[in-house]
Amino acid sequence: MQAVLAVAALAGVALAADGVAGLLMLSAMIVAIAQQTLP
Amino acid sequence: MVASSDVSRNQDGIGWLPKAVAFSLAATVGGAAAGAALGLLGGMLAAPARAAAALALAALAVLVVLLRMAGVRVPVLQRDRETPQRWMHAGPLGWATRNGLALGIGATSRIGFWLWYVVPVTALLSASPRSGAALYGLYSALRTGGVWVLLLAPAAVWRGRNGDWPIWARGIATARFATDLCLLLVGAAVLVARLG
Repeated sequence: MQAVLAVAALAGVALAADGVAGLLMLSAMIVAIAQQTLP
Repeated sequence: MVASSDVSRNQDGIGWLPKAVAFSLAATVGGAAAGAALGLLGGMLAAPARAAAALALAALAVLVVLLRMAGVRVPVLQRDRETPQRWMHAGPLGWATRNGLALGIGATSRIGFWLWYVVPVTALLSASPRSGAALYGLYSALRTGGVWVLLLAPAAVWRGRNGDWPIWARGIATARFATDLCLLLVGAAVLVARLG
């Protein structure tokens, strides 16, 4: 639930700040961190 | 990442710092170069073709996430493997550089999350080497940047309460959920921007 809220809040900020481009940049950042959980 | 294997570290008297520099520099430069190349390639595509591809891929992204949320297994298109262990015999800096390049570009080893595809696809469809390099370079720098936290921050910052694995490297289920949600938002935002 915390992850959902965090992603939703960050996405909202990214969208408000820079539209779809902001969301795409946020995606790159989130997947970069998420991949550090891979074995 | 740097310390994820039991294989000999191949230290050769070289400390972690030069290896970390080689690792993260190779990753960032490699990622930025890949993004620039994709942006250059995208510039050769006609604008209507890029617009149509963006629309189709956004719809596909939404579909993939909805299927996954419905419990359908949609395997990530990837080479499901780690970077080759034999690289450890390329010398400490050779290993760090190759590993950094491979993980920074990301396409030749385990990808893990559908959201990853947003990075190369956006670089391609941006049709701009500069934008592609910026986005892909950001991804690559962040993917490998954890090494600096491990090296420079006190262990108490990253170790957590139990075990010695970094706190951000736990919880793959949470990572899957967060990346799926992000992909859904990206797909929906592109569809709204294009169709709205």
